[in-house]
Amino acid sequence: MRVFPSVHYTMGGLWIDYEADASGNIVAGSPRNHQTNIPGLFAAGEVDYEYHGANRLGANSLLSCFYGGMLAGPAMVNYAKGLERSCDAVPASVFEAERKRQEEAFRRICALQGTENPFVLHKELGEVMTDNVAVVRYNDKLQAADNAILAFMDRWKRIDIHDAATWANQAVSFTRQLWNMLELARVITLGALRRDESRGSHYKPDFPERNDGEWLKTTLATWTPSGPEFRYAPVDISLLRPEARKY
Amino acid sequence: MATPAVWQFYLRRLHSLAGVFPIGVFLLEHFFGNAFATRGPEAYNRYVEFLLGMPYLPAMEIGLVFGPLLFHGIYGLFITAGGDAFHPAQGLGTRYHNVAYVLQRITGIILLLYISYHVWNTRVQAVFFGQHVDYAYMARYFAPAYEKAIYIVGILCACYHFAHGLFNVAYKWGLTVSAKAQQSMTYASLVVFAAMSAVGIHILFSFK
Amino acid sequence: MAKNTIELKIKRQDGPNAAARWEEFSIPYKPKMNVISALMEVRRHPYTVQGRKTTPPVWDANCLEEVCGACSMIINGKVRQACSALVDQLELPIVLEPMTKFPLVRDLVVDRQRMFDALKRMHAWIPIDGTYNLGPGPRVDPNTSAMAYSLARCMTCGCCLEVCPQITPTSTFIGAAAISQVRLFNMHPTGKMHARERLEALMGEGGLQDCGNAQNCVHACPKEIPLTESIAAMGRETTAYVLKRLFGG
Repeated sequence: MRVFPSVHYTMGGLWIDYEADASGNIVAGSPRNHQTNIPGLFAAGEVDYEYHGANRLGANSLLSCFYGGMLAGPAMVNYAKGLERSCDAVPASVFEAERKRQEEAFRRICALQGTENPFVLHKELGEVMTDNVAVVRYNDKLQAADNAILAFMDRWKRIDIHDAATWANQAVSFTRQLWNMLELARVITLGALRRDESRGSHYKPDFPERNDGEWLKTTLATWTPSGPEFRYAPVDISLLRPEARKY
Repeated sequence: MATPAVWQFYLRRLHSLAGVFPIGVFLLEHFFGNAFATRGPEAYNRYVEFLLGMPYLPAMEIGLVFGPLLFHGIYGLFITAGGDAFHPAQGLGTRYHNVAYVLQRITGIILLLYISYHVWNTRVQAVFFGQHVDYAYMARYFAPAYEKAIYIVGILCACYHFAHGLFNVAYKWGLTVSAKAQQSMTYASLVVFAAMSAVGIHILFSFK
Repeated sequence: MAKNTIELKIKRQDGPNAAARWEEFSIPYKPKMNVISALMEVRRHPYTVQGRKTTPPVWDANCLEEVCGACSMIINGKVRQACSALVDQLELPIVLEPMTKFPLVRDLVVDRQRMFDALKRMHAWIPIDGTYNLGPGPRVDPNTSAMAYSLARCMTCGCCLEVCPQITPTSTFIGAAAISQVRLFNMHPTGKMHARERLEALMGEGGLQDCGNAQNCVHACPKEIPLTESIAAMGRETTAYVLKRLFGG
């Protein structure tokens, strides 16, 4: 049997809010808990960024699954109860416009008639990420990876879709997701490039020590048409002071 | 409370039960009684006279034999129609219980025809057409080779259907739960099949 | 004999009402491939052996470690998971077909909805979710927990339904998987509280009674779940339940 450290989990995910009381404890039932920055959109489980920091310890995905679910469920109920109007009151034109936008996106991908194969691009992206953005990271390789991703984004526009069926079309949905993967790959790569320290599963031999003074903070990336924009938020350590982790 | 769907459960259990009691019990009695043929014409004729002299005979024949047989046979056709006996078993190869599933349905259909034929020639002839059914009549009746062939097929089908039915009942009612118990029951049912077939065919050839 | 290429023969069908056709592909051999990685290779170069451009074959997969059941298909005539079907152990050409007992979506993808509907009807869960702490659950002895574990390995993959003669396009039979799940949840100390509800459902339309005793299910199960023992055990439980209802006690 061949053993290889494969990518199994992504530390990080959608930003979600929470409400803490004066003592720093979470307010159960608050509709802010687990709500993303899109009002009414909640995220819980592996999809959200909460709880694990720079390393998710074995079996702790269950923690975020159960605990996140326990918080998000009542939060969603309370959010829905607190709404002044339901989706029935939203004009049909809103849904119609979104439907048109999505159909247009589908059509645009169906019309791609270049020379690139989306599944080949995906494989190459995986190889670039595994080679350069796994646990051990060097800044020059990270920069090279970002350049490679930009080149993939260019090639994405020259995809030959091969399949224009309007029923169970995996090529189109895959190609759509592939673009999002490219966007996200840049977030991961550039986020890692900026963080000059070692922490959790992020290890830079050139910066082998954890640097709480500069980097005890959460990386926040926001989508912009010209690439991800980075901000940093403090980590809430009001209840527990971080210690050095030694094995 | 009992919706039509729940009745399907009870009907299926009743069908299963009817195969053992009264039909199976009758089959055993039928074999046992007819086995007097192995003791010669006199013994056989005494047995027939005993049967014909039984109190409540018509009620027992209808209530314990023909009624349950008709129910078991007709409902069995619906069960057969509800499955696909010749479905592809996707790479499992030939497996006994899958073959048995098919055999149970095929023997069931053959038995419907065979028992109708058998009842027509022995019981209906006696009750409605005044034919005196005794050893001599049966011996004459079984004389042609084709008649023997029909009865051999009929006896084998009845014995298999009954014997494998015992396995099915034990499985369906939850008597045999462990795989080991089910395996033992499979062997037991095959022994019952072999023993009853031997007895049945021996009886057939006893009418000389 | 060293292989340089792998031949695949895939049954293609564009949709539920489209005509089926066979397409053959040849991909470069690599050691330790499984059917999923072979299919991934095909869609990276979706051209038939005749050199004709075609659509990438459509197939489902998720966990890639035989615990989710999504990639069930018929491989060289045997229903199994594509992820655990190792190319080195398969005869060539590898023939891939969709399962036949479920509505076809496209190519190798079928809709196993009837299995999930059956689990819902059988109340195949234990309703203990709450937003407050319910305290520790009841203790389970090691034998029961070992048996429960073997039943809990079910991934609703559909192999047991695929080989069952009682599953037809018109039959409503729930199949061995759901029956076995009733056993699992009825053996749990907390799950027992809803045993009656599950048994009622199990005796409903398309329920336990529709089993035809062909016993193919237990041999097709990739997780080696004792499905025929489960069916007989539920036969016993329903027998006891019916007797109790008839005579009380």
